[in-house]
Amino acid sequence: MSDIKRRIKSIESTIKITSAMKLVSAAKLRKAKIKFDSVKPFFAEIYENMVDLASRVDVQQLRYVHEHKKASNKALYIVVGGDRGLAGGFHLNLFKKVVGTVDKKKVVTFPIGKIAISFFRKNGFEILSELSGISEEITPEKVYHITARVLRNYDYGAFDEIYLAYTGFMSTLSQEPMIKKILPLDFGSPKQGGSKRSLNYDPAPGAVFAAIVPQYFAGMLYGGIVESFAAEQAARSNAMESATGNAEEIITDLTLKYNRARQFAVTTEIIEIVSGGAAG
Amino acid sequence: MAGFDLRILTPTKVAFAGVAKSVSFMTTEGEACILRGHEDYVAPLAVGAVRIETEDGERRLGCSSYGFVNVLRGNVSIFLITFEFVEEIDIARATEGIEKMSAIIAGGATGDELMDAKARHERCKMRLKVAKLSG
Repeated sequence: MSDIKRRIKSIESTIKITSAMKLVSAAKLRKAKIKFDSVKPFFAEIYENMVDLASRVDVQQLRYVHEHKKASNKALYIVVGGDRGLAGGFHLNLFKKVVGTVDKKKVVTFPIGKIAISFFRKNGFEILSELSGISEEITPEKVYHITARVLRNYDYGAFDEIYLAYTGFMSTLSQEPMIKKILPLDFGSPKQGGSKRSLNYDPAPGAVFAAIVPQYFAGMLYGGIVESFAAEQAARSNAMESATGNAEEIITDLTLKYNRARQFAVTTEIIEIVSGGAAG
Repeated sequence: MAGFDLRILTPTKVAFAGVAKSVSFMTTEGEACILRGHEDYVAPLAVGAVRIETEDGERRLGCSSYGFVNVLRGNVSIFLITFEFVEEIDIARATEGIEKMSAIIAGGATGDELMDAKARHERCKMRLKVAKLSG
């Protein structure tokens, strides 16, 4: 009986922790959702615009649009995770998607967030660079420095492609791991009904792409980090809510067991007293 | 319709979304103006003033940072790191920003810090210039 009581107490303190974590992540989610709603139009439209622009390039071998001539046969995956665990399948789903997509020997990773760093280190992936503790207070300016460094490596030919792996925020209840190709911009044939009208570049196409790709890349990474952070908070809030629910169920079950045991003990005691009296 | 759809977007806000009769801005090659029926066009933008004439004839003035403009089928999208309309410019903050950034640059900053300081200095200077333009 004292064992059951101890377990109930221990689970009650777990409930306190999971409820507090749920409250914290719900508050962070509200803030993150506002930030995500502000970046959403920029994130979606800049990508659409770049896809369209790239599909209309009629110049051969344009930097950032076409593949490198000297192929290194490696792709860079920037994987945006979080700094804390206890977020349900948030990290696992993202890592599964990346691992299921890439050939380990042909990939260089750039994990963002402590959990992503630890996963890619532990699993022996080549790491270009890593960053943690930046997601909550990220600004477009900070991202610009990160992407500038990555682009320098891309220009040297350290890798031929850049992908962004992050978790999409579909709703508070649903988050989905996503992989988006960032560079080169040859996304295949233009969409049906897409534009093949002539395009006026000012200055020449090469100079235009060299100038706008850093803005596009920074915008995409910023959007990915903001969206992932919102998704992480939603995932943690949901995970903590179900953990609290599960713990409450266990407590109900244990309380029932405890009451039964107590009843049994009382009944046994009464029987002993009655039998003792009868014997005397 | 007398104008075209214009959207000015930054990573933190949709600064403008509406119909405009004209929009002019500073590209890396010089000032450019877009009117209705402009051919498809793409250009990188420099820090500078943005002038919009809205559908109902209102003239609005803003300050842009780096980014690019894309004209597609007559619709204009402008993507920028930052954008403020003149009425949103905080003159005291911009003046303070110039002083702070000048001190950082003079103090021998290097790498990202220097790059940041130079970019902020340029943006603050342009904010004051745009604020002066509006009188």
